[in-house]
Amino acid sequence: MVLSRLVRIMARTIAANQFGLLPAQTSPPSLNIQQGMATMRLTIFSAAALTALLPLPAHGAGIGRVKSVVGTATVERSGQKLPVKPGFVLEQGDRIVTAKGGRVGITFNDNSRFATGPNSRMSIPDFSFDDTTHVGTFTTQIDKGAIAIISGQIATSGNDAMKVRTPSALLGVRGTRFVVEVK
Amino acid sequence: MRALLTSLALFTFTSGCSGTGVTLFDNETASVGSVAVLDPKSGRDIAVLDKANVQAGLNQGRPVSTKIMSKDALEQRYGALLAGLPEQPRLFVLYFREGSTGLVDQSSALVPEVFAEVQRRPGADVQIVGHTDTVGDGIANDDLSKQRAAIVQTLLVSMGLEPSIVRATGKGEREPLEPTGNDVASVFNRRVEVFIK
Repeated sequence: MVLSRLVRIMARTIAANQFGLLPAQTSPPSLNIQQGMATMRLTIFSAAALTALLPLPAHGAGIGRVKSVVGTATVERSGQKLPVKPGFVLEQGDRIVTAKGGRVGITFNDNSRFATGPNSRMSIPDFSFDDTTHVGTFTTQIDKGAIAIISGQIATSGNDAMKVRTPSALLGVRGTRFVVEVK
Repeated sequence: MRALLTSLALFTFTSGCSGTGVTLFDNETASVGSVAVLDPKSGRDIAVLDKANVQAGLNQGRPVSTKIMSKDALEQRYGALLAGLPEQPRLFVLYFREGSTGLVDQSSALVPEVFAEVQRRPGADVQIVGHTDTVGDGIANDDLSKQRAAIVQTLLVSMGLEPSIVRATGKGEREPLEPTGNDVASVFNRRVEVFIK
């Protein structure tokens, strides 16, 4: 009885496949899940919880937050140059610029994660994400430098819903961890 | 043509890196996935990277060529960049007594750990989502789920959490962890999820 219940919930987890960090057909052990009840049962139940927690509205117009800054980094927005520090809320259209030795780590609303390298210049001309359906589009433009990306929910929400543009190429992101470098 | 390019290139191990390009890595937790080089006009695939440590050159005016890179070369070139990726978000699930905004004891005991995790993460933001089981009517459960989320929010803020980084919502009985019929008590569904990015 308990077993069939667990199987049902796990099946639902896989079918839902809503969590951007997890691909289909993969169990989610790597998330650090904590629970306040019996460990054995809840290890499985907590995995299923991932399907339920995601439909969340964004913080205001924000599309993501800066999590780490090394050296000098700025965001160019509406002609202004804003200093960047952890907690900085990014908006669609922002251009992120790092100086020599500068690095920025960002987590976006769809759980995509970015790391920009030194001497880099990138912008987010398009980011839309529906927290209820988990469907969205995400385009990153990289003018120069290097960026590491772990794709999130948008990449799995539709065919080439996540794109990266370089001056010479257009990339369709279907997962998961990759680096783009523009010389 | 694409197949020919790919098959030729994949037999070439190299430790050198060209200029502009894209490199696919294995993932911390998931399958490798893939990245496609698209025709900017048609959106069709020109080349697809679908194996770890494969790199495609993207230099202007040249056809896309792919090659397998040595792990050492990639680590040397991109190790520091990859190390700058933010941590995975972390989920805590807290459980409640039936029909109540009271946490079960084990979940109460977990709250300091939730707080510590938020404090540990620079630039953190916290999403709190309340849920109920299907006992009682749906509208009352919407309220109860919001109250549960608010209780957890209040607890964390009282411990010193910056209020502007927390957002609390309630989903009522709509998103059960354990699917049940109506009017069924479920300890698994009476919960608040705290998602820390």
